[in-house]
Amino acid sequence: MKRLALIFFFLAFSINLNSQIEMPKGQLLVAKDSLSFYSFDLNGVASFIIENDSVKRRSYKEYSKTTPKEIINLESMSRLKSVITPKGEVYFLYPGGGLLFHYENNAIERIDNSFPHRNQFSGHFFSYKDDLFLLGGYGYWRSNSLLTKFNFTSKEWDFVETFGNAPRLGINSGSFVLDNDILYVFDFYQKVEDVDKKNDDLFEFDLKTLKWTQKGVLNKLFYDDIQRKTFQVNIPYGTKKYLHKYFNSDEFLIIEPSKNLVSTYSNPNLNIVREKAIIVGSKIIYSQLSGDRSFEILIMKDLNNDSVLIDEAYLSNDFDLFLTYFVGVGVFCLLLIIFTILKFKNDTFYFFLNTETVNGLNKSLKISSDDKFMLELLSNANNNQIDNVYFLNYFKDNSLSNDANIKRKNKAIADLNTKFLEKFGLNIIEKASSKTDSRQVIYKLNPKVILKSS
Amino acid sequence: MTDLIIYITFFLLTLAVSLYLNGYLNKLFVGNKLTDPINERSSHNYPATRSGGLSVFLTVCVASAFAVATYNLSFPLYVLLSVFFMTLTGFADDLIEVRYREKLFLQIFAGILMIQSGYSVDSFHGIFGVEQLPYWFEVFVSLFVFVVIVNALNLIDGLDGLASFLSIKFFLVSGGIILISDPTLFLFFPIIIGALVGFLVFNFNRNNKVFLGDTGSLFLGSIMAFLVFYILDTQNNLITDDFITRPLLVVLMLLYPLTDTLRAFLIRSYKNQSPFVADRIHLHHRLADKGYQHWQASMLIFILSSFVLGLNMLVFGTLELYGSIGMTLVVLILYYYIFFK
Repeated sequence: MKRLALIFFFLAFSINLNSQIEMPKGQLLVAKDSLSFYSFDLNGVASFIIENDSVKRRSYKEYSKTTPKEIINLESMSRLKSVITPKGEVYFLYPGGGLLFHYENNAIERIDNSFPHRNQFSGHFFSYKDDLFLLGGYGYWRSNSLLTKFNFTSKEWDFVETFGNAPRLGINSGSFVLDNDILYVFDFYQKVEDVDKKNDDLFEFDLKTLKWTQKGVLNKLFYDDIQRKTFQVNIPYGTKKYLHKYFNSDEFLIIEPSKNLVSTYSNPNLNIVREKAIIVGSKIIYSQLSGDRSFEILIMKDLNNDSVLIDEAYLSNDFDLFLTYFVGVGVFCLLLIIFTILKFKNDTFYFFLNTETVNGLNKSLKISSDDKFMLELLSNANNNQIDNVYFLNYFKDNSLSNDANIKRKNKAIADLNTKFLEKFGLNIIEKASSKTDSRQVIYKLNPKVILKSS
Repeated sequence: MTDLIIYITFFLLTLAVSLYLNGYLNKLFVGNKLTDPINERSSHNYPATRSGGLSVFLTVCVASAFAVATYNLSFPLYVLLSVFFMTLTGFADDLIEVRYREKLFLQIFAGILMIQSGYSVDSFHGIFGVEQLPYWFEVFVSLFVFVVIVNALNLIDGLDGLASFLSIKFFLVSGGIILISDPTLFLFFPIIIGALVGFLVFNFNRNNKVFLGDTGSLFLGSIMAFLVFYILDTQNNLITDDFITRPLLVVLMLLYPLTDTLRAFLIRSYKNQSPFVADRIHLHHRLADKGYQHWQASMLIFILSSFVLGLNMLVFGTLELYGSIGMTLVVLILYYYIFFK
């Protein structure tokens, strides 16, 4: 019975091994569409298709022509950068830029008249409207934000002048998402005095206008030490997303710059995803060295299976900017309030005193002879203020008691103020205490009012 | 830093254009005897024009066109159509007095246009336990919200500076949200705030006074409605989600227009009057009648409503929804007691 179980185990194991797809070392995976992909090695190309959640090798063809010696000298296809155009053309770029290869008619051929530039290592090789571009990278001890475009006529790389606020100190080992005409650039490094420094900003590059825009500071998720980048897995996910992952971690990030969104997922199945992985549809495909390191094994995992959304956050501008904005808003509101108060505090209004009217602010107020007397007295007085006794004397009627006279005077002043308030929206006469003797009442013109006799 | 310079430049540019246009249109209106009639409900008793709304609208158009042309701003087309339509309705109302039913019909049409932009109130965000809404109900709720906001702003435009101050508050808060969620839209906020500050200078001017008029209140109201749609639309990620629920945020951003309109409707209904009748029972009229100058009353309402919003943002995490609503009600009652009792 034990022997039977052992035979069954080995049989099952060998069936399992047979279901694995073995590939030569150093091959380069290139996603073709949402269902198929290529694997290029130094001798030929394999074409794969995803059917019923499994990978099937459709064909393997050896190249019809000898592989260019420049590639052979690299000893591995995986050192090249690849791009597939919307028309399905596959191009390979030599490390550092310059040499360009085209896969056509089952052969890889060099198509440039250039030379190894060696100044754009780790640059971003991409296609836009059938043109091929290389952005940024480092070389000769410094990083740069050069944009070069392959000229299919001269077969040389042309320098493309860009505008706006480009990353001044260069773009090295960045993450890039091309969404229609906008290339989002983020999570990159720049060499300053031969030391790599992280740039924590998100940039947008409009390929239509060739204009750079700095869109703000990245989420804190991306603030980290320089070492992490070397352990990262960065894979374009469709046309609008980007997958970002660290080795030996269940967590991965899906970045959607057009939505300013970073979603953090956890999936234990994706713990060991390696570099040079590609995403085809919702499947992540990568290769792993066999136990004896003689070949690579192709592995496919579904991103949707067992992935749990842990968190969603903004790609850029997080709380720091939000809080800074509201500090600015607070200052703005304060200034608005202060200026409004100052405006009304210092607001003066001209009025003209006639025989029967007071005119000002495009209006006219009919006044009595008593009103006229009071206003004239005030307008002619020093500092537009007079002692109570002047008004009291004017309103004095010997047939009335002192209290009654005071009430007459107060009523006349109050009536004039009411009329003035109703007509012009402000009081005309104010009551105060004398500065020299606080027991003495004085009357003065509203300081905002300038009264002229006409 | 570059962005900040662009924002400040556009703010100053619109402020300058707004100052010029307000002065120019005011003279033009006065010259053509298009002054605001003075009646028993008026809080002003001197000649003024309703050219402010048109000035703000034209200023925003000029500055936005410049911003779009320089790739600094993008705006959804249907929103523009809806806002333009509402502004034209307001302009017609200022000139020839559009009847209320016709105005309501035009507002609904503008609301439908705005929903076409792809932004709508598609969820109650957990209020009454309701999340996603069925499409027909989403359209109905969105239209209702649109009409309420547009009219609420129109109704509170009764004191110098009030509608502008409260609009500035609304745009400042929503600007912070948009800055994070959709920076391509943010430049609109320095533009509109610059235009409103320019208008305020003339609105507070005694000798060359201008009012927003229906043109301005419907223009600003429809933009506010769009921003409310933006905030309440689940497709958009908002940074404020971490510390306040969206419906409460929207209500607090529009606290005074909503509460005052609701209060006026309830009082009129209680008195068996039409809820749409024009009178002087609004809280800002009462403040003015108590002796507060217009600018004082407007600023008081601006500061107090901003305080309630800030307070809620700070304590929502602790008090949660019903606690925050309760606290807001207590603060509002306290305000009422302090200023009217």
